[in-house]
Amino acid sequence: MGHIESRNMVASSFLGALLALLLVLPAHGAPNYKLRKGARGDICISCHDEFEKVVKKRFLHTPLAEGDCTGCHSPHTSNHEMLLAAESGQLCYECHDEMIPEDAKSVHQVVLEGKCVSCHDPHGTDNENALKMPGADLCFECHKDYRKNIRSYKNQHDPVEDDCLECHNPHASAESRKLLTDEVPSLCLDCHDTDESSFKNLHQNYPVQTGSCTSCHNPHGSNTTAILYDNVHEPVTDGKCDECHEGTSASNPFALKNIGYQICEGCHYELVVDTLNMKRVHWPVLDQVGCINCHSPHASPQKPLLREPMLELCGSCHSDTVARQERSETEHPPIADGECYECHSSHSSNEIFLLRESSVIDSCGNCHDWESHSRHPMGKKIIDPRNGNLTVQCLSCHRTHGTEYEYFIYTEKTNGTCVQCHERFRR
Amino acid sequence: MRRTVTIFTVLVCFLGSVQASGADSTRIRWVTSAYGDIEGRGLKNPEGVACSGKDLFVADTGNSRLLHYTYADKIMTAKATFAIHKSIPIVVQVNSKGHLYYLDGRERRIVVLDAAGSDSFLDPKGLPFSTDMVPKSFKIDSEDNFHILDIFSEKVVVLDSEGQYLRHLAFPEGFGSFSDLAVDSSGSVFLLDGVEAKIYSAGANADQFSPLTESLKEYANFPTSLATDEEGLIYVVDRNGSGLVLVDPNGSFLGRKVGSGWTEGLLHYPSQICITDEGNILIADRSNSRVQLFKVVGGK
Repeated sequence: MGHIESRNMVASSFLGALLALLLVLPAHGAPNYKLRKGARGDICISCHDEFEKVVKKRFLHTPLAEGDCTGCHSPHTSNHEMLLAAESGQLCYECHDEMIPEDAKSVHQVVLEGKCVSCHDPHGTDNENALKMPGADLCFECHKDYRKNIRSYKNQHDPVEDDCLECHNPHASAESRKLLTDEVPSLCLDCHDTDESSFKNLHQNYPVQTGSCTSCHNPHGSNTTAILYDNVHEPVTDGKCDECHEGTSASNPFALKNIGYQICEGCHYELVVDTLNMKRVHWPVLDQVGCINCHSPHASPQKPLLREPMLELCGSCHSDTVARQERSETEHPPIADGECYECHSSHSSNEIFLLRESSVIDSCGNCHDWESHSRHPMGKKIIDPRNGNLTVQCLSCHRTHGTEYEYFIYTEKTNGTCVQCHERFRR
Repeated sequence: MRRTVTIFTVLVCFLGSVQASGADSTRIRWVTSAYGDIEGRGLKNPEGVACSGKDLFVADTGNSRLLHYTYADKIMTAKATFAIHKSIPIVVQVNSKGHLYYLDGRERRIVVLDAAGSDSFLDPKGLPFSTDMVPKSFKIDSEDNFHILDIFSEKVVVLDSEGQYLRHLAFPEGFGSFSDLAVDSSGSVFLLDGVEAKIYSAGANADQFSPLTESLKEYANFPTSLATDEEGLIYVVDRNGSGLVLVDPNGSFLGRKVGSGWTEGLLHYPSQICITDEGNILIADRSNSRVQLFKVVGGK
């Protein structure tokens, strides 16, 4: 037989075998593993009998309701815990991929992290949507501060008592920040009729329905009438909106009568004058936004009308400094507790870094009895050997906001700091 | 086959090293430091520096004075001291005629210092807007025009050498807080957002700023000052990180230079920066109460 003829024979044999194989294989769909009836679910319960109670729950996850445990679990082996067919969060998205809209303005952190089982039982519960707990109780498991505050408020906001989901989307929101189902004030106007005369009177006839309700009102409740935040700016309490804003007949009633710190000067004259007379003024005081960079002009949960707790507020610009303390080996309580004002003046000072005290030693000495902690010479008369223009003080060895080393020193070991100056002891 | 793989590997390594060296081959080498005036009285938390040829000027903020140095052969020599009592000089500039100007941090106005040592405020004339000005920084360009970073009107206001209004550029939207500006030899203006660690730029004839860089937060803790050299390289002082960040004219990060410390060549909460005609860098090393001169080597 010639060479070409033998090759043709081999090719023909191969094609024949392939054809035979195709005829043998089933024509449609998934391979037939010859499973027993109930193999995808019912049989599982014969070993996992704890699920006999679970399947009786009111709200079952669909795969379980259909008796299809293999919808989520691999029956043989898996690289994931609980024999899941994929990573826990990723698995849910294979069916529930609509949870985060493309243009989401806010996303619940647990959803972003794929921790769906933080809220949902993947099998079933007696709570709608197979939630682990009903209503706000589930939210308060993480948002503990809200539980504490909401339950203590004298004046409650009705929707909050009902369910957080009256206002919030638990997964993500394309409408607003903070998982709100709609922007403020649209969300508020779903319940509150701003055309009522009583409403208008209370708001001095200003068109507040075009503003932001939460600049004055705490949507979760408060101890103040009308659920205003607990600290209210006096003109607001007195209903004197026109102290700062144009009158209600103006083309833009909310327009301010002045800008920057100048608008606050009318009532806070001495404070403004004292602030501006210092050598160094905190720059936000002087820009176009002025005092309300940090203070809420209407009401706030924080004294003295700070927009946010001090750590978050200062950290909104000085994020590097706050992050430094978070990473620090040793905690410095005034910083960790967000009491920046212990050392720094928020408005102005004659010192660099807006320190309250002219002497760093005096500043630290307000808390630290350094004379008993360290007998190292310090003070204006002790010249720093490294630099004749400097004197030895606390910051010669410590970095107040933290370092990666203990006691905020700059070196791993204490003697590493000492030999910065005492060079003859270097090894 | 083996030969092909070897040649390919060598080529990849070579091209990679060429690319890497272009990206970060600029070296900053310490040259000298200055600690005091002609009489040896020490600097105290200086915040401003200005460079003009061989003449270097320092705003010795803590001592309310300006100092004049000359630089030659790697030595800075103190020449003159200008006492400006009750003023807090935080930014200093010098124009082409050698006239000194400084920003008084207490009055928040630009002061003109004449040859006799008398000072007067720069009074802007012909402003088309009526708000007060709060200058946070200012620079003088090659035509002796003032570019003022006015945080109250949220504009960069350009005045001629006599203070007459020329034009202004509004701050771009969505900024954090601008801390400094720079003007290059072509008249392009650069704005430094210290909170967002971003740089914006506007060409000489542009009427608005646009972002030049993404956020440089990964490389700079809290940048507060910037300057450009003749080739368009941008030097950004990271005050809280006590370092220098280099950015190319296209806004790409090139590298981070210098470190934090007390020994010469290191910085501690540095402030203003200026570039000499020879391309040397003068930095007000504020918390070390000195100024330091660095030389730029290689890379351009």
